[in-house]
Amino acid sequence: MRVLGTHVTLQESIRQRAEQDLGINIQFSPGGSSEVLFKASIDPSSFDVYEQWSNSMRVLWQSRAVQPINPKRIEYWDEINPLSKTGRLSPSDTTGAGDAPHLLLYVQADGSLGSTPTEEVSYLPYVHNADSIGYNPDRIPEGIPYETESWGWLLDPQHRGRVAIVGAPDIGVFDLALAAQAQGLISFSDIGNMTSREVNKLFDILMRFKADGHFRGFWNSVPHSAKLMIRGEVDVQSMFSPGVSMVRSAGTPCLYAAPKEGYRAWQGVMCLSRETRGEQEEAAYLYMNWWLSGWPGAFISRQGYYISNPSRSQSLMPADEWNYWYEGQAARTALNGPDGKVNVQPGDTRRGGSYQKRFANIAVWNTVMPTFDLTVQRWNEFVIG
Amino acid sequence: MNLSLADAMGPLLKVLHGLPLRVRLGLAFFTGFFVLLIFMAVTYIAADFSARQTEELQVATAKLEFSNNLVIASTDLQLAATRYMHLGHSSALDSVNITLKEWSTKVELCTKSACLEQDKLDDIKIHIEGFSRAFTLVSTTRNVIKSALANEFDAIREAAPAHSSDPIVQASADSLALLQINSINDHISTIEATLLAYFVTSDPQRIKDAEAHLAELAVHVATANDALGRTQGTGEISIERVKSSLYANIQRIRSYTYLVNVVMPSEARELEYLGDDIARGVSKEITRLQTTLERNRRNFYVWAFSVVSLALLLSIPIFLWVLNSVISPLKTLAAVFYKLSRGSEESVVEATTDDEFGDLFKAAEAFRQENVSNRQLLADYRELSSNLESQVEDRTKELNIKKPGAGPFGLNGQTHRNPKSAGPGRTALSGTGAGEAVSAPANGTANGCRPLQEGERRTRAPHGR
Repeated sequence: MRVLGTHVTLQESIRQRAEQDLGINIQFSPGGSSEVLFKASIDPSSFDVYEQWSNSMRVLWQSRAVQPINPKRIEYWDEINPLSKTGRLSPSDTTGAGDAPHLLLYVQADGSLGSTPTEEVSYLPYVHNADSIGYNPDRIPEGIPYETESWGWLLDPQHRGRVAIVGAPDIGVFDLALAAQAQGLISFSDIGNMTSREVNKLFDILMRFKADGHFRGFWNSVPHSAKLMIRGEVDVQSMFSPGVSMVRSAGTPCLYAAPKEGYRAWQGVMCLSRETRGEQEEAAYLYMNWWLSGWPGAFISRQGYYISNPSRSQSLMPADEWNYWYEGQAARTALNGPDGKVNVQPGDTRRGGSYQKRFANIAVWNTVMPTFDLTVQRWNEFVIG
Repeated sequence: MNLSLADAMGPLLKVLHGLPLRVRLGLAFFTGFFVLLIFMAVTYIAADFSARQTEELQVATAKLEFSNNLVIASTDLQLAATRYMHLGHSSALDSVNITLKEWSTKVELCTKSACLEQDKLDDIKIHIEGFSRAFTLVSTTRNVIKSALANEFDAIREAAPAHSSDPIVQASADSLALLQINSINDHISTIEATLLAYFVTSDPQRIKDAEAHLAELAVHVATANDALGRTQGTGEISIERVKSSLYANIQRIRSYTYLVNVVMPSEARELEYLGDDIARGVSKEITRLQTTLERNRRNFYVWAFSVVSLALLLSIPIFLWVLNSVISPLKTLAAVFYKLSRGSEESVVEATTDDEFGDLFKAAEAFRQENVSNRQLLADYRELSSNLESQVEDRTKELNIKKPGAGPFGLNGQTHRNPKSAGPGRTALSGTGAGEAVSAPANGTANGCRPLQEGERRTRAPHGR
């Protein structure tokens, strides 16, 4: 079975464990997010299972690269928590702007994707997280989660030349939009669905910052983002949780902020290729079920990711790990990351608090907006300008 | 206890003055040679240091060239890649491939020769590979997308009712239906062309244009179906296939343009940044090296000047001392010999040094003493001669008085006038009547000569050397 996806989940230890547990041959083809998305959309015969983020769903679905998944064949479907099915962990939470996972989950009668539950889903919801900015507290005074920590730091002139942004317009545009809004430079009627005018205005603002040398650069991979901070080239940047772990493992202080404006969240999607049939399809379903069986969720939590059915992983996680990663409690012992290196010291508390608290503060979900093509065009100008 | 410099130097000077002349000359020579050696060593060290810094400067210059070329290459890569993606120029494709290959080789060579820090080279390699992966992917699939688009729309056109061949259309002979069918075919072709334009330009306006054409197509299809009396299940013309193909191709092109407009530029931009960053670091290094080189050059001149000055300061007194130690005794000797030549016997020549000049002085003193002795001997001889003559005269007178017949020369007539040939007594007179004169010189006192003192004998000794 061939799995196409990004490095954040296509890790060798996961592959080996899956092969061992399932008794099937699994081939991982990790790559950059845009690269794997392109491969999948152009050639569905090149993979059986596709792993990425929910913002790739529209591209994959409209390019007819993936086929619907039957939830009845997913053993733990009912254990999947409401976040993926309703966009909220609890009814009192607000759903963030943009494409919340449930909006792309169900295959509607007309073939489009929507939130109305049906017998078919476009993807299996599995890992997910709430992203924000990472900053070096040796260079930027430590802020207070949800009070002073802000996306606006990305456009704070004090950090001129020492700011990096994720090099993906469908993600980075929200980081910058939240930053610009926090700085009072622009306001959006719906940040998850910007108009062309808003996109143009945002990029006009960003180009001025770019011209002032505000940005160190754009990173295209998690290791690249970690390296920028480890080498001291960057003080604050868009970050993913594994990048923060890498920076800390290297001994460089890094705080993963809990911005007062809320997080930019994403839902991991696991899709089935349009071309997959027979044994490969069976193996693909086995593999998807395996991901919800507990061990993968426990493993991936060590890099700060949540699994869509956490209760099954809880029993496989030491209490201290569970309390730190999911409950937001202080670690009583040193906790290792997925690479086996210590990345949480005793006494550390996960910034932003518990799973519930973090996902109750979602500002926007990673989204391919209708203005995506304009965003890409302006992004290109922004990068090379 | 306070010692003056002179006091402190006294023993040293005494030792120096006691050195033989050849040793002093040798000392002067070796002092000069030693100073010269120091000067040469300083010069060598300075030259070697300067050479090493020049080498460092050359290495830094090579680094600067490498980084500047990287910046240029990243810009060229981006331009050529864009040209190929948008215009399909094969020369642009070749240019990108050649540049990528060239830089992969350069980075490998640089890694082997450690021409840059390894982490920087790793970064360059990662981004070259990132760019290469993205470019390879889009360049190899460029034609795939175009042909897939063309194939899908060919199939759509084939399935669409053609106004000239559709028997139902011909049978109906409905001019409105014919018009609508022509418009349907036109819109299908327009949608295809618009998608191709989007593919080439990445202009999002093309998507809007295509969607507008799709909406118009839907109207024409509905009108045609009405005109032809077709309903679902009775040969209705459907736009679903066009719609599906339109969005499928939009997404394919979208993911393509994402790589072209986002991934490749950011990889190229990162390469440019790395080149700039290295260049900035190297420029600082070059400035530092040039400053150090200039400072070292100045320091070298100061050192060289100091060493030469020190050598001069050291060598001048040594030279003067050596010169003086030669000239001064020579002058004194000249004066002594001048006096001696004038017959002066007064001054006693005393050797001031224990060297070859000391020996000369001693020899001069011995010469003077010998001269004095000879003069004394001559005086004694003259006096003796004078006394002898008067004694002879007196004796003659006496003999004449006693023996009137006796001649004026009662002796045997042999008189040796040369005292030196007279044997051990130096003055030997044969015959009688000279007994006193013969015995007196034997001890050297009778003739008035002073006996040589012990010290004088020693001073003569050098004659025998």
